[in-house]
Amino acid sequence: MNPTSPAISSNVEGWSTVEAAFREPVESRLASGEHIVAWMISDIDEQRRYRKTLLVLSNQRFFSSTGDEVRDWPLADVDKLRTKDRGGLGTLELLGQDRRLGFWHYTIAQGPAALVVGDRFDDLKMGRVARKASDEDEAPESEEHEPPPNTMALFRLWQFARPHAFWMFIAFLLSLTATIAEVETAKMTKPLVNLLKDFEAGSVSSLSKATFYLGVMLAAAVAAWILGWAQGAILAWVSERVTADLRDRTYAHLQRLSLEYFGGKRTGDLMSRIGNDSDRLCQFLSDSIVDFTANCILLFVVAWALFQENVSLALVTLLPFPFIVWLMYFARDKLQVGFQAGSRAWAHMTSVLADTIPGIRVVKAFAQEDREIQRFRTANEAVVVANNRVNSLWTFFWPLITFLNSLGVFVVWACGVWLIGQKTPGFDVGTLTAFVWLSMKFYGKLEMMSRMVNASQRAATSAQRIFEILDRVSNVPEPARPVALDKLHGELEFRHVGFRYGNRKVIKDFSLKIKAGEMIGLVGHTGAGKSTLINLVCRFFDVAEGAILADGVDIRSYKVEQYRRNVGIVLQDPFLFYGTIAENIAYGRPDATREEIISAARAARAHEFILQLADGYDSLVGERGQSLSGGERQRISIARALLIDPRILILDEATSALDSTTERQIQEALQNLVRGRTTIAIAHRLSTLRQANRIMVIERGRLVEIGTHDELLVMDGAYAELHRAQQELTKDIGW
Amino acid sequence: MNAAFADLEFNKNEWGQLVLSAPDGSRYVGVEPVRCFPLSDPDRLIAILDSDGREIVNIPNMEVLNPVARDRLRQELIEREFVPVIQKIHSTSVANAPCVVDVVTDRGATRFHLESEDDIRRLGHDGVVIADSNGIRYLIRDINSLDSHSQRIIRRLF
Repeated sequence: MNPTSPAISSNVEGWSTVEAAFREPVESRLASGEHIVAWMISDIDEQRRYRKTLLVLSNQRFFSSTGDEVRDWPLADVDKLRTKDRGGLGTLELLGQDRRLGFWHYTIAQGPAALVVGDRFDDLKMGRVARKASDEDEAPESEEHEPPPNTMALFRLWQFARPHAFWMFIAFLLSLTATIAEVETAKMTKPLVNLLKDFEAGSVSSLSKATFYLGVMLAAAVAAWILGWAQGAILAWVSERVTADLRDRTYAHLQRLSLEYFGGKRTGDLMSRIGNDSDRLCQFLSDSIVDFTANCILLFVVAWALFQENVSLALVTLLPFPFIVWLMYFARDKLQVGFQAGSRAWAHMTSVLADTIPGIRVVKAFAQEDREIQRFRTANEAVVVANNRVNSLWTFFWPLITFLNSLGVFVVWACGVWLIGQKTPGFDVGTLTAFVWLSMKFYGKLEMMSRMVNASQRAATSAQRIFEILDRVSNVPEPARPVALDKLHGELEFRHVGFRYGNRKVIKDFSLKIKAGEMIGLVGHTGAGKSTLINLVCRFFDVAEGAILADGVDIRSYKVEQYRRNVGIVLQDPFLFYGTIAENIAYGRPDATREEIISAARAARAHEFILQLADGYDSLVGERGQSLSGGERQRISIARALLIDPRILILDEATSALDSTTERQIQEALQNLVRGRTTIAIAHRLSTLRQANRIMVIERGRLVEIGTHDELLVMDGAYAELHRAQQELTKDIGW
Repeated sequence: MNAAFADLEFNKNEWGQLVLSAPDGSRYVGVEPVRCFPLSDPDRLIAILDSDGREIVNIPNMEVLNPVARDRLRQELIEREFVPVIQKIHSTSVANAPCVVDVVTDRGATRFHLESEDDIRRLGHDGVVIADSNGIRYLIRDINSLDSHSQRIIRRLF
């Protein structure tokens, strides 16, 4: 596009987005045939102050541009580009043959770009043609998720209440009718009192009229009772339903979030969100919300009635009202903060429980019961402190509001007495009685509403905590246009796969083709990236660069669920759910017949030990259930993987936690499992990889060697060294 | 295959051991029949184990056996198992576990100690298995078939 520098092809991603002041001085210096390969922004300078520098790698030179000053180094003078990071601050160093040519710092956000610059530099140095952007595997388009709306959490509850809008409206009408009935009763007092005055004066004829007024008052009370009951029943039902739906939705959403989310979350916190917070919401919905709206309307109705009776007195009556509203508003903000602290403290306390109860063996083994008791006590104390703060605030506001409410009624009395004393025309005892009654209703409702401030703030906090989960978008998105998948054939291909955790690159430019049915052993030091590679194949995470292809299609193009159904995984420490052995084996295929379960167990060498248990396949395992040994659990998990008959099988150190006799049994079981399936097996003990077609050695996220056991020994590289080390170990400790 | 099952023979030797004779002439002394799904599907999938606990044969259901072998096997299973079926629950010492439960079973009246409600598990929709403090299991195939007094007690327990 740019006529002066046709070489700056737009294939360098985002180049045109760089500020012109930085970009143009570099562009103007490019020689013919020179083009930009990669760039990044260093946002912190040598003195560790915030200042931007544009760093550019071309196929001939390395540039730095601060806008005013552009420096460049021919690549021939540069020996190495080194990136390191420490405490969140990254450093890019330009190293020459005999000295450091320059260095720049950058924050985490620039980390990925820095890694790209480093990689491209290596490509250039090695004489590899830098891959152009167009060669790279484009990630298939994923489903779009709208950004979470930023409205108040409580209003967002409406989407859950909408299906029940009809019933909520009915409840609202009932509530309104009940309150109007009350107001009408109050209005009855005026003629009634005036009648009584006549009666006192000696008029007998008015007594029959009094019976009518009394009858109306009684009927209104009965109506209010029945209406209140109906409204309560409807609301209780609706709110249970709404919160149950909310819980279901939240849990379903939670299940679909990627593993990454769970890695950073405390179990107890999640449990308290789904359990506790939704319960609070339920209470709020059933007790407060419709009442609140109905009461608002009632306030208007009563105020209207007051003004109809006497305008000036009505004004005086309503004098404390704005002040009370302001006070409620003020209290609300204060309470909000307090309730949030309370919820957090509560979640922290449940976290302590969720942490120590499953870990009770460790606690006891290290005799740390007292410390855990203390830890719980501290967390519990924090709950008390947080709640006390809210309570003291509330106990201060609450009587104050009550006082102001009674003050409102008092004002009515005082004015009324004065007005009657003045013998004001059109103002008699009957009017005063009606006024007192109405203002009592008014302030009574206001008092109820101010009590709801508490409940509504608590509920708002809870709603916020629940929506926080619902707003989270899975890092493993579903494809927008999924490729239909039933059974995979089993071919796997890694194409320039890269993955990083934050700034740390765990997998670098990893490429490999695995034939269907082939077994690949995966060897490497701890932290070399083996488990990450497997997590990528399982789609627990998605690749950052490149692509993984199954049967020639990017795995991101398949529906996550359909794809995972083709992947079986046996972990080092298998997890069994609470349930029978048969249920655990059939976990991936609940419709399996009993015969299928038995034959899977037989192939996994689990059948015979299962028959030794008192209830055979009906024995309970998992939490609260029968305790099985590590080897037994492992064989059940192998049976579980066998039953779903996966085309791709992952063994993540499946035998490393076991003794050698058990290991042999498991090896037999695994042989059955591996047959005919594409298998990737991680193992520390190389002996367990005897059946592997090829073994690959990974070091720092890169594939360093691949071949059969014998080939690798002949190569005398990393694998041969590992092999020797293990053989010596075997001699020493007789493994 | 079915024919092979039909030719299996079970006998008792003078030591009281169960002996399995297969049509190919092999004999196994001291075999043990084990139900694979004793609770959820007791009458199918019965494994015959040798004295070392290895499976010799798995009988898919009783019908494939010849009538003599079927009766012998059934008898043998009954002799080996002790899972009383509860017919009536008289009372519990206190309202909730832990408590002593006074029951009438198909093997006579007894009382047992129930440690916790976790020892009661549902079996299908209406069935219940109760394990007492000694690990003996008591069975109720269908709660609804009990009298109302017993039903009230069992529903209160878990």
